[in-house]
Amino acid sequence: MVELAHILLILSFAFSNFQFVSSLFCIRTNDVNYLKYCYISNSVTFFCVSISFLILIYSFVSSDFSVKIVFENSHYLMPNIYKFFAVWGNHEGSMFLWVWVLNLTGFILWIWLERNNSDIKFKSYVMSIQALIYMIFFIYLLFLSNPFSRLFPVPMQGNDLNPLLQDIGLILHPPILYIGYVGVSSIYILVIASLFNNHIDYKLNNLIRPWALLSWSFLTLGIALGSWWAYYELGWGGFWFWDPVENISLMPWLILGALLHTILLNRKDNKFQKWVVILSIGSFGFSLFGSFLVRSGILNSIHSFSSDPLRGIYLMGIFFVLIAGGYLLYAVKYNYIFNNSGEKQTKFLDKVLILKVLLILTILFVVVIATVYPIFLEFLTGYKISVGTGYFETTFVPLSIFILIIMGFITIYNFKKFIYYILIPLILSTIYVCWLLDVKSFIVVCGIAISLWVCITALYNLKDKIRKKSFFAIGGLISHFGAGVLALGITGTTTLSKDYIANVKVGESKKFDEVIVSLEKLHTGVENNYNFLKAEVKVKIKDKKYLFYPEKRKFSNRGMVTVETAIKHTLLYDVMVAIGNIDGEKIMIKVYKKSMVTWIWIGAFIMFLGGFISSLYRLRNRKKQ
Amino acid sequence: MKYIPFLVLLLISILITSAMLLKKDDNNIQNYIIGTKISEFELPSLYEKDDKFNSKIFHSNGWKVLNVFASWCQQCKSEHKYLKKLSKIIPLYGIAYNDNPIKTKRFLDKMGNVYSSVGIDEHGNNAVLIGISGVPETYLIDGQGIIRFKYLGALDDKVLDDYIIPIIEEKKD
Repeated sequence: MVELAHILLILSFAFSNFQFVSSLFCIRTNDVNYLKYCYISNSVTFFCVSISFLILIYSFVSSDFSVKIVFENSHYLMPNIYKFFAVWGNHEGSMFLWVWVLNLTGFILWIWLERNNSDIKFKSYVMSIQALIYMIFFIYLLFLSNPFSRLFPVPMQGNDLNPLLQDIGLILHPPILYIGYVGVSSIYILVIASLFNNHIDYKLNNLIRPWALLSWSFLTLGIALGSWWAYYELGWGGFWFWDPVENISLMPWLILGALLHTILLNRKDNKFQKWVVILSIGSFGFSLFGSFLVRSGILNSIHSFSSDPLRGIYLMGIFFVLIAGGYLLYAVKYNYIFNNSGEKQTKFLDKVLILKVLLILTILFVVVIATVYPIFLEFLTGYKISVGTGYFETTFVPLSIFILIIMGFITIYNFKKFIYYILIPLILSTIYVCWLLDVKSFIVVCGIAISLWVCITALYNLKDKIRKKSFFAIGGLISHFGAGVLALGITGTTTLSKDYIANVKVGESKKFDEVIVSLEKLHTGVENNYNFLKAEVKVKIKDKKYLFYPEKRKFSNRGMVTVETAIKHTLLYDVMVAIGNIDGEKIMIKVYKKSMVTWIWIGAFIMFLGGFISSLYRLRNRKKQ
Repeated sequence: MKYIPFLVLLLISILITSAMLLKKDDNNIQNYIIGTKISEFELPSLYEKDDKFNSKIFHSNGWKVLNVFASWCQQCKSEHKYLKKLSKIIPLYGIAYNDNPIKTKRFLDKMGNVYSSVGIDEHGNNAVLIGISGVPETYLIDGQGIIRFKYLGALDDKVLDDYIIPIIEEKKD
């Protein structure tokens, strides 16, 4: 069975070679028949890889420990659902998932191109570049990271999966993030094919736009899922840790954001066509660079799995050939890029857009520097440093605030309308939100006002576009609205979260500014293998009362004490209660209040929806554009 | 002008490749923690007969090695024979990180227990406090509780011969 999967993988490598060769013939002869061979081999490749991947999953589910990665990452007694998803909880499997997603997007790409494009030469270039990328990754999979390595003698029991990974987060986070990462390859393929085809004009923008939207939206969702996972896995602490791996996922996301806005800039005249090409190649560059950095073992983190220097060097080679090659091609074909020299006056809104793109690129620069600088410093001087939160707070935050303000710029030249539709709702909603959250600091009020400014302007524009029936713009505005909600969540979490510690006896209560913590009851008991101390804690926040039952457990056989935190989620805040030290009659009750944290994920999800709707709409209606 | 993106990328690639190829072997040594005192912690012991496993162990009675391991960790198995070697010259203390104690016991029964005492950090709650960033990890701690050496990843002959054993022998002189 596993051998079959291995053979299928080798077969798909052979078929991608075939696709490459026949696409070259097609470029030569311009004969449609060769293109058909390409399509057939593309489908066969996709089919083979899918079956092979399914067999790998099956060997995980059936606990076939003769397969090395199953042995290393699974266990008989592991719940079935984790057995299934442990496939991508390791290096080989996750690279296989990467390749499978690559094939999936490639498959969809050609079906879509076949329907929407009639330029045979262009399509054959697309096929050849796609085949080249397939080949590169199949070589990596087969020779450097083979998921089907066998073990002999067959071990009786597997090694179990890292417990941190045994979680719902593992099921969703990697595939969704990979759709985002790998979707970018379609943009790259389309741009490089157009460069080879000696023709780049505004039509390219319409081709790559849905793919950019698709990757961007899935990256948004994937990053948000990762952040949510980290939030509850690491003890409901923070939502973002500025960890290098988190930053790496941010890079393609940012550059795609810049790309999307540059495409928008080009909608009337092609002043910025060169930028589109540079950013498109760059976005795939960052997507590869990310996987290279994470997998090469240069960074230590939960994502790095086992490291092997050869893999790092090969991935670096891929990165170099594809991206440096792409930029070299850009330079060679420079004259074929139709860039309007810009005789027309740039409009005010376009200037704002340019500013926005520049700001996004600045943020990207800030993140790249922070991620790459420690690596180089270590290489040059031997010092190991890590860039702390302080750096990002002083660079990232002001820039994002600036972007948020700009995001809301809209075309209302009518002063009266501005007052009625924007300013008054903004003031009222700011007052309402501040009242809800009990905000007293002026800076926080400003932060909330800026976030709401983004939401309200987006809503106003949305209403406008729906009335005008121009549905193409809707997705972008929904995403902007989501960004506002996200900003609101982040402002709330970072500024309004508070911890309270109360040393109280039973029946006593302690009052903090707006929170009353009272210890109602305390009882002890015995469970199977532990004694427990259970507290009934009433927390009153404003007028709302919540009951918590935090526990402290002492395991009889090992004398070990664990703390079970009680958690309540509401729309406005998450509240956690834990029992701390016990000092005589007095018991320390710790209350953590995380404000607005749910809104971060709601906002990110709205952003995803906007991008996703827009990309689907554009994928379906490309001809009408 | 038009070659700028290409040249920038060329430069970056050359830098990264050279960084990777010339990467020093001591990449896994955590320099900044060396010379600092081990932080206060207290963990339950794996075996009941032992006392509490806390940082006081490291504050007296000569040099010790603290090794962080887990039964689910692949590399911990491969470094086990080197630990065995090490345990002959210096007392070894272990922390089972993020691991079910029953599995830890089974692991030690199977591989052979090289530790004088083992502490359990079942949910990894104390990891950040102690400074654990992953498994396996090995600390060399002197009689005053000061960390003299810390290695991330599995030990091998090279690490033992180049770093750990020379440091131990130096202190004897």
